[in-house]
Amino acid sequence: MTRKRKLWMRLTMLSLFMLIFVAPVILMFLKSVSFGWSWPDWRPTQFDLRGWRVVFGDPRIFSSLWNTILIAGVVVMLNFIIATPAAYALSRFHFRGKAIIESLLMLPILIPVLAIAMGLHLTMIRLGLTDQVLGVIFIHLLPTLPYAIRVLKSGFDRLKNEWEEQGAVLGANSQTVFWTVMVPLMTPSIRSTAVLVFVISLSQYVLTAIIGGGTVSTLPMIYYPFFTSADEAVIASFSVLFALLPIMFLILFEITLRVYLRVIKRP
Amino acid sequence: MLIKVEKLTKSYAGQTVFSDLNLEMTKGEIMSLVGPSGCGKTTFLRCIAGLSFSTSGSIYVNDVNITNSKADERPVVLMFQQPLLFPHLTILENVTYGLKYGKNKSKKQERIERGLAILEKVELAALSGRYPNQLSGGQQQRVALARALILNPDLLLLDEPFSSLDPSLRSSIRSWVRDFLKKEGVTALFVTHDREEAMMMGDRIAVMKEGIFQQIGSPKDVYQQPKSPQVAEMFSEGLVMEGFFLSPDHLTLRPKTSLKAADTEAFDATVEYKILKYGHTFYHVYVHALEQRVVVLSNHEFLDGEQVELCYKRISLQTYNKNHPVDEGKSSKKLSR
Ligand SMILES: Nc1ncnc2c1ncn2[C@@H]1O[C@H](COP(=O)(O)OP(=O)(O)OP(=O)(O)O)[C@@H](O)[C@H]1O
Ligand SMILES: [Mg+2]
Repeated sequence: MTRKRKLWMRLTMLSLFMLIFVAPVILMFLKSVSFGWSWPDWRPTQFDLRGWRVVFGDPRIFSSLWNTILIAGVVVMLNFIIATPAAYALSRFHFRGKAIIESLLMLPILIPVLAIAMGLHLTMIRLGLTDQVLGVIFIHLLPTLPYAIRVLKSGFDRLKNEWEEQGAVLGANSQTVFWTVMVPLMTPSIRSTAVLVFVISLSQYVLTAIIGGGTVSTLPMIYYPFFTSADEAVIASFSVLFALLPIMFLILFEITLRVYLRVIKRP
Repeated sequence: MLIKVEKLTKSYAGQTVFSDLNLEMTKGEIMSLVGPSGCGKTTFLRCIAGLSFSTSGSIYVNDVNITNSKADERPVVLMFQQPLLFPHLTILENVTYGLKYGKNKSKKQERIERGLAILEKVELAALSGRYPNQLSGGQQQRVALARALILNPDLLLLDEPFSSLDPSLRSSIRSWVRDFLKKEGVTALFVTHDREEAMMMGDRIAVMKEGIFQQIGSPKDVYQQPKSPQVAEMFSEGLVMEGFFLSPDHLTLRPKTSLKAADTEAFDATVEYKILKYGHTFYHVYVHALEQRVVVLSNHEFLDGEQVELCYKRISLQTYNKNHPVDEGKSSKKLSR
């Protein structure tokens, strides 16, 4: 009785998951390779790679793909470099003004990022950071860092202090303990942070446009204008390309993590 | 002296946890540390291990002052209440962690050999490839012990290592651990709540209460000759009076009607219940005058609820400070109140 019910529960969950997450991607993919698929046909009648040809026919596509991946990758790395010590300090230490700092960190989420970016724009012009990749990377930290710090902080909150103490007592210095105990135990938080930051950076349009000034072209910069066109196949192709990036990033990240753990683990 | 703690004091924000603690231990000695909850036992161990720093005082290991060394630089390993095995590492990898990442790194081949050897000793070599969550609680504690002992620490600190185990496992593992520590000649400081465990594990017992060591001595001394009413209340099973103590081995029960011998005094008491243990009958009696309960062995038959007399020889009354029999005049004066 209960086993049967469990099975049903699982089946329901699985079909819901398929319906919500997998079906749109498949649909999108079908759409990108079909020609004139519309109501009331229940399946595409003609296949055609025109959508993909348009996407890869754009002369800017490879440079903007590269830009997008480069920017998102560096933004992920910078996020870890900055957010890890910040999150650790916020989680482990009590100091005056901690509450203020924590709410300040939430500001970029609460206030429209656009407003802050406008303010920063002038400063960045003066520093000569506009119209180049470095400036775009810098401005992408704005909408990502608060999330990274949040996620990593709650990860550290969940990890008892005793793990570090156990490492120390066994003679490992704090740096070693961090790399061999904390990082492995934090993998769920690290994974979420990486994917979240990557996706946020990937989908920035306005910030990239303001700071990049049109010189730095990323995938959204050539993707959004196509929305005004009515060509569904092209839009679908772009969307699939877009959806593939985080998935590939996740796979790459997972492999790196596995290799890292393998190295750490040798007896 | 292998271990020497001098005038160790610890306070948190003005609140003193313990003050002026002195302790000396010789090599291979096992010391039990007992005390009521919150008296600072864990804090004391953490200070010795270097996980928190003492406010004042010094700690020497092999005549080296380690008071200000960091935890990872001290030749001391602390075992926590939980085994805290690293979940991402196998048993063998856990055990060799200190050899790989500690201060005296050894070669890979040697690490594996030593790891397997110590796992052999804790009788877990067959499980070396498993992960911690595939082990029982007792097995996990044994792995934690192996992980500590592989480092040959000068001092092993154990903070209630068995308290998360069920009673039967607990009693089997603690005698195993004691034999093991003795065989390997490990110097250990062992914190427990349990009086029986303290007597069983320790060559000596340190009783901590209200931020000081009330008494340090052999189990027999502490049990029979407590140095303060606090120690008596906590560790002995006798009668605790203001200024005097009656060791349980000097107490006898008899029916209320009988006559008094000249050198004998008696308290009125009520039998609450009896239990059979080790082939004898033990009576739990309540002493009205002292509002205390005590357990007495007797060959007489008494009924539950029966009024009895709890007798003792005047000569067996002892003071806390001098630990010798009290002269009669003084004792009877005090008790006649
Ligand atoms: N980090 C801390 N900050 C402030 N006070 C603390 C801290 N750690 C412990 N204390 C206080 O120090 C005292 C001793 O604590 P400790 O944990 O050493 O007791 P314990 O003897 O180990 O008790 P138990 O037998 O319950 O484990 C307690 O009163 C506790 O409130
Ligand atoms: Mg404690």
